[in-house]
Amino acid sequence: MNKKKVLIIDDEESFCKLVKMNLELDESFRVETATDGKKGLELAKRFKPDVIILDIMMPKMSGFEVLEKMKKDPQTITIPVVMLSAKEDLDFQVKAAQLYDELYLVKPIDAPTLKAKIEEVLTRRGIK
Amino acid sequence: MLDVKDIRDSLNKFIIDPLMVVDGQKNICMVNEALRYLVGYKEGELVGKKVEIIFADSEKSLLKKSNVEKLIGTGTILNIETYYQTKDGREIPVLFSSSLMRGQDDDDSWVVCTARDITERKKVEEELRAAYEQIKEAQDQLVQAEKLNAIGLLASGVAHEVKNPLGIIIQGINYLQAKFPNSKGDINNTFSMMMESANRANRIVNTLLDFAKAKKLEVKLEDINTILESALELVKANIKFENINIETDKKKNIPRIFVDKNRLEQVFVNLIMNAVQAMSEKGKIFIRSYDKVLSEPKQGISGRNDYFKAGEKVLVIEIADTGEGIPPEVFKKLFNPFFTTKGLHGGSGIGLYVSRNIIDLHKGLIEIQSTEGKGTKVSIFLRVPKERRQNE
Repeated sequence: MNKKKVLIIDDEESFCKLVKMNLELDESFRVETATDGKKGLELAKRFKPDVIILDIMMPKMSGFEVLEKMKKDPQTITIPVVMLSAKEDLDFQVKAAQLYDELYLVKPIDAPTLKAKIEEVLTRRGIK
Repeated sequence: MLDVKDIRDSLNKFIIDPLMVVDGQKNICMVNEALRYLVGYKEGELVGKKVEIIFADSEKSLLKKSNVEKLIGTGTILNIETYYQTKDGREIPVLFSSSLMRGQDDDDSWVVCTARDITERKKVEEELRAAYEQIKEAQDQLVQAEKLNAIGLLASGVAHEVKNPLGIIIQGINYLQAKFPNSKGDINNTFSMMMESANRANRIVNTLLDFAKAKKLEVKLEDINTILESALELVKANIKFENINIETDKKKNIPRIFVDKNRLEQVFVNLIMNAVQAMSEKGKIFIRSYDKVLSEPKQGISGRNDYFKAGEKVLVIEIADTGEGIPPEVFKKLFNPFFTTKGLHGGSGIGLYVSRNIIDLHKGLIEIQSTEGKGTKVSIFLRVPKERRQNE
C-alpha cells in the first residue's frame, strides 16, 4: 500500500514529533519533519510529500517565504500546503486562501481535526 | 444734623448686605431692605415672626442649641455657608455671620445677623467643579484607553506564545488517548481533565484576543430569534442544565435588523453563561425578545453615547435569572475589564466588557437590573431602523 506522505515544517520540535506520532498511528501515513524553512524546502524536494503542514511564524524564514519559494520551484509547485499558525490573523488567512488557495488552520489543533483536514486536502487532490 | 432714627433709617436703606436683628426669643425685631429684597417679603411681613422663617428647611440646624450657645459664648459666628429661604420657597446660598449684642440683663440681648448672597460664587464654583469632573473623567478615559491598548498588545503577543505549547499539550493528550483506547476510571478521567483544561486555557486566550481586537462588524439583515436560539444551543452543548430551567418567550415576526450575527451570538452566550453561573445549584432563566416603541428616552448604564430617544422603535432581548443578584459594590464594577466574581474556575472577567463593546458597536445599549437574593435581568436594546419600519 502506498503511504500518504506528510511533511511537517514547524520550529516547535515537540509539536513536529507529536503530530508525526499521531498521524503514524494510522499506518497509511508516513511523516517527515523539519524545524526550519531551509531544511523544510530541501526535504520537500527529496521526500516529495503529498501534503505539507507549514507553520507560519518561524525564525529565519517565515512560512510565507517558504511557500513563495515552493510555488516558484517546479519540483514543489504542485504540493498542497496546510498553513498552520498560532496567530489568528485575517491578513494571513486571506493571503493563504486567495494567493495560494491553501488551507489555513489555527493552533492549537487536536489530532483528529488535523488528520481530517489533511485527508480533505488529499482527497481534493485525488490522493487516497 | 442726623439723629439716631436718621442713622438707623440710613443703615436700613443703604447697607447692601441683608441684615436682621433677632431677640432672645428668636423673634425678628428688625430687617433691612436688602434682606426683604433677597427673600421677597414686603415691609412688615417679617418683623415679629420667628427667625426660622428665613432659613431653608435643610439649614434649620443652624438654629440648634449648640450654635446658639456658641454664639452666646463667643459673641460671634463668622462666615458660615448656609441657605436662606425666599417667600416663594427658593433657597439662596448665603455667607452668614452674626454677633451678639448684650443688654443689661440676659433677656435684654439681640443677635445681629448679616448675610451675603453667594449665588454667583456658588454658580461659578459649580461650573468649576463640573469642568474639573469633566477633565478628570476625560483623563480617566484616556488612562483607561491607554491601559486597554497596552493590555491588547500584551494579550496578542502572549496569545501566540501560549497557543504553541497548548497545541503540543493537546496533540500529546490525543496520542496518549490513542495509545490507551480502553482506559477507564482514573486514567480516562485524567485524560478528560487535561483536555478540558487545555481547551479552557485556549478559550481564555481567545477571549483575550477578542478583547485585543478592534474588529469591525460584518453586518447582515438577521433574525434576532434565530441568533438567540443558536446561542442557547451553544451554551446547552457546553453546560449541564440538570437543575436549571430555561423558559423562552420569543415574539414572532419581530423585524429583522442589521447585526453581526457571530458577535451578537457571542454576547448572548456570555449573558446566558453569566445567568447560569449566577445560580449555584438550581433556578430559572427567562429569555425574552420583543419589539416596542420607547415611551421615554433611554440612557445606557455605561454612560457613553448610548441613548435612545422617545418614540424610537427598538428590539429588546432580555435574559433574566433567579440567581443571587448583584451586590451594589459589585454592580458599579460590572463592566470593568478583568473584573470577575467567579474565582479561578469562572470566567476571565471580560465577558461583560466585550459584550458591551459589541452592543456599543451596534449602537445599542445594555441595561442591568438586579435585586440581591432575587436575581438579575439584563436587557439589550437594538435600534430598528426607520426604513425597516416602513417596510413592515
